[in-house]
Amino acid sequence: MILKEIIQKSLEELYEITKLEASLFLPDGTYYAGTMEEEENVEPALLSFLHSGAQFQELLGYYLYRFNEEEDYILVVSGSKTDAKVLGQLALSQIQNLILVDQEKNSKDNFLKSLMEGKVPEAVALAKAEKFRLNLDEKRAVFLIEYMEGNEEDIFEIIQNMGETPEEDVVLNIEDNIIALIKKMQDDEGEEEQRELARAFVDTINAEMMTKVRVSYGSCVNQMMELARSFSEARTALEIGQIFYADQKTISYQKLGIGRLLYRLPEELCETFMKEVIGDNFEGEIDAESLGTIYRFFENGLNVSETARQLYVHRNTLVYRLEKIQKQLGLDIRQFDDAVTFKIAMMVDSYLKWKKRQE
Amino acid sequence: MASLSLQHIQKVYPNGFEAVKDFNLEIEDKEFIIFVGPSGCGKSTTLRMIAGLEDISGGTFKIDDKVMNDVEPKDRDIAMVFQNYALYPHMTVYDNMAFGLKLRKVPKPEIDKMVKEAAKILDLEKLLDRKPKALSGGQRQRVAMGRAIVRNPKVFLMDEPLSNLDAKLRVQMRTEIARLHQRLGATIIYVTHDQTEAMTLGTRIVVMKDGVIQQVDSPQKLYNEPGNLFVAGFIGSPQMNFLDAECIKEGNDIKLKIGSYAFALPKEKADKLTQYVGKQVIMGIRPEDVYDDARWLSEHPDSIIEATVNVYELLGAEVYLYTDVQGYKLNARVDSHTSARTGDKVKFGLDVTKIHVFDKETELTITN
Repeated sequence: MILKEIIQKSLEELYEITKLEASLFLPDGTYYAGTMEEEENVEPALLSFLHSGAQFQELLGYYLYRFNEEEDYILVVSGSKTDAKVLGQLALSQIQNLILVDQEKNSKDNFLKSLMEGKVPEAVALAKAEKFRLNLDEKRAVFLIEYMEGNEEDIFEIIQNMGETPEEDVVLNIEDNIIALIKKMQDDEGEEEQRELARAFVDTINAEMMTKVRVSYGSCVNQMMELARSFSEARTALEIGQIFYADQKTISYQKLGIGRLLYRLPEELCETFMKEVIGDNFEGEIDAESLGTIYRFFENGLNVSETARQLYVHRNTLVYRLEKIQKQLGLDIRQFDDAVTFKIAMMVDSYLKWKKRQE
Repeated sequence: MASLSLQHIQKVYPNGFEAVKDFNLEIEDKEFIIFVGPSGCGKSTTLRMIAGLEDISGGTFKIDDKVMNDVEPKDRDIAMVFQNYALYPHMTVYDNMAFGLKLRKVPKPEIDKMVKEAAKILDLEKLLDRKPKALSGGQRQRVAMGRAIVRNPKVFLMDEPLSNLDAKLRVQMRTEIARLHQRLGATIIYVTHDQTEAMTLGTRIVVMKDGVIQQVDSPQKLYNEPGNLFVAGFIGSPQMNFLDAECIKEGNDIKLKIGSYAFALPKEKADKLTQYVGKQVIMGIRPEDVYDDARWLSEHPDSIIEATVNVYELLGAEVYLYTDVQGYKLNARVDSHTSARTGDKVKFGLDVTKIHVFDKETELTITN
């Protein structure tokens, strides 16, 4: 939960117990959270209090409290109850403590974010880990959740609430539309569990928010200082995934394959490769049916019988299609070397198209 | 009202792979329609395009005559139930179902009303205070559906929601989903790779393969009148037998020759094979249309063939016999009282009225 929601819940619980109506306002008088009815006209009292600079005032039937100097929130309590003043002080204390806890959490979050980005020297990291009571030798993995639309706070809530041990996981904002999850993993958990979790994130966010989402993840690491590696891997997977695995919503760094290598190649080298191996007009060479056949053939490890079975065609039909491709491109993809060449060519083609779209 | 129209819908990924090709379908309000096909056929991709979670590369998609191609997913009034749904482990059933509404800032009294209504539909009223770990698999599945139902959408999209359940629970949940459709009176589009699930749930089934619609029909018609070899083989368990046959003419009769056997077909089927005389075709017959019953054999002597049993599988009420007929593989589903065993030579009768004949090149059904 984010701070605003925590404070809202706290004020609602206070109302349930004491029937005290209270609302919190920002330093400029904007409503932040609370339980006062909408019709309540606190504005005259609020404005007067804001201009006064006082720490506490009783005005027009309300008790108004100013927070500590740094935050400067204003708590307004409806003065209709006889012990409203005391209850108001209680509410003030409670909310101040909640804000302090949140500040500490933010500080911890900022530390972990810097750690993931590799910006924290080891000595400093060890000291801060002790301060925030973080376990150094715990198995963790970094997940990155990229969402297309929606409220970041809502996505945060979904991710936090999905965890079995939310107090041990950390959810951080990385940049616009990307959230990181530092997930505690059990000792016997690995890539398979990560994949299931990533799928669950995609499906749950899709269902709750009806927004597109992609999830990538890096390797599990056993030391907190290795978080930077897991983060870097998840980051790479997210970038490379959109080039070579656009149809997939979950991308594992470990499954990127030669995409990791091709991603680093200079554009000119790729273009030269395509001209030499395939020719000038790669796109026009292969029809949709052939492309689908090739993808399935590669998925089945160049096994003709299994591919034919999965495509529900006769083996001879598949062989005919593969021979047709051979005539078009001069590559017999039933042979391993030619299959590798063609696979690389397809990926290079995807990479070059992606590069053009970026320009 | 929620009728959907998909016209020439296409999905092409940046790498050129065409996942869905020229998909055309009209879905009526309150219809329960199933997309079924093997893994990778494009059914989930199509569902996600309807939801707005995949961009549509080509074609027009409408809901109630309003074009939806560029409408954001959250504005399409659609709710989805997925295979890998996750309930929030620390929330009660009530809070799990209310969560999405809370995110949408729906007022509390309204949330309460909607959650309780959905709980009533799903028989979850007495479980609202429980946490997911205290629920059975079926109850959890119902909570997942509850999260979709509370939104009161125009259309429900379900993407293999039962795939992660064990076989027994899947059967139980199928009935519940069918009942749910009646209670909700909503349009439901359901994706599955399981043809049994498709046949038992849908009023209309869309069979897909390689991104292309193969046939759209009622379960009964798909079973009895498959339009092509793929549909014939995909629908029905165990799978239809396919045997290479020669279409011949003996006197005035058009027959199918398999090995040393020749089967005369009923007139309505034979008339459609006139132009195939002298050519190779594919004969299809379902295992349940292959009889070893003595009485049936005596009444249909012209349909008899001899086979050698390679494998005998007892399933309880019935037996599957995997046999060889002069080099052709033929599977039969017979009564459990059969005396046939592995290695035996048996006599079968083929119900020629149930034979399907397919064009060997186009794989389309000739005799339907």
